Amino acid sequence: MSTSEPEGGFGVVLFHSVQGALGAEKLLLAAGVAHKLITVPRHLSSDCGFCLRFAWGDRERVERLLGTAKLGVERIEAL
Amino acid sequence: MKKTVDARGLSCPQPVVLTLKALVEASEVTTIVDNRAAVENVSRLARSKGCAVRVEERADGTYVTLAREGAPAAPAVTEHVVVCSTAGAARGPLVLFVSSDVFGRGSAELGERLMGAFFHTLRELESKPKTIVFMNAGVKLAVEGSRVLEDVRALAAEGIEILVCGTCLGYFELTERLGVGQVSNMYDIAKTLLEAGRVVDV
Repeated sequence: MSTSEPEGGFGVVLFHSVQGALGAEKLLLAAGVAHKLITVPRHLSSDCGFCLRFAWGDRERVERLLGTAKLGVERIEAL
Repeated sequence: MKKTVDARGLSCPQPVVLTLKALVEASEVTTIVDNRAAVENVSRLARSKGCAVRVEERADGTYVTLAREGAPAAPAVTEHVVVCSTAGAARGPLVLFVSSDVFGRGSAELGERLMGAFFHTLRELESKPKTIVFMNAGVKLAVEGSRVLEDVRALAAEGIEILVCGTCLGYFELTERLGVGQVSNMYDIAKTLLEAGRVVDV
């Protein structure tokens, strides 16, 4: 789980489905990447109400981990 | 006989109650009010009593004058005289009562995550509860390792009172793992719920 605002801020991964968000959560948990499943911020929108927040500094790692899995990632945005 | 009722600063239904009382003794009553709802409620009372009504806006308030002509008339209009808003009726604080570790029913997996999203979102909302009560399986949210612990701690840091049922912590053998709030008992929890203006049950 994430704690206070990291240096470089947060990013979020948006998904096409809830199942994708839950699958990605398990993946990041297993890989030890700090994250938090949150409500999609109002200024963003996606097909799924959940998104995964992570430290923007971990972006490449997150992209790599999720890139190989078929989780229906919609897009990644900086917060 | 004329009477004046100063109902400024009084909330619903006091302006109507006092006007009605004055109308028993006087043939003309001027009620001074300071809000729109009171003007409407007193005017409705006038109509229901068959009185002529005159509304005058002044710098120090709205003067609603009811004049009874002749003998007390039977209600000319049948309508609800007093309409108090629910916002006015709720006098106590907002209390969030969390009696489950999952949000809603249907899927525990989804419910856990919805609860996480709920507490995260709660931090961003302007209207926050005065107190959050964790009870039964809800206490699992207030212990170390909980998905929402960070958010509940942040809410506590903002001054929101966090009450956690001690009996429930004992039942789930989580007493040693309490991560936020104060261990509470049924006396405090029952008092908090009964004195609340509104309880939101999660």
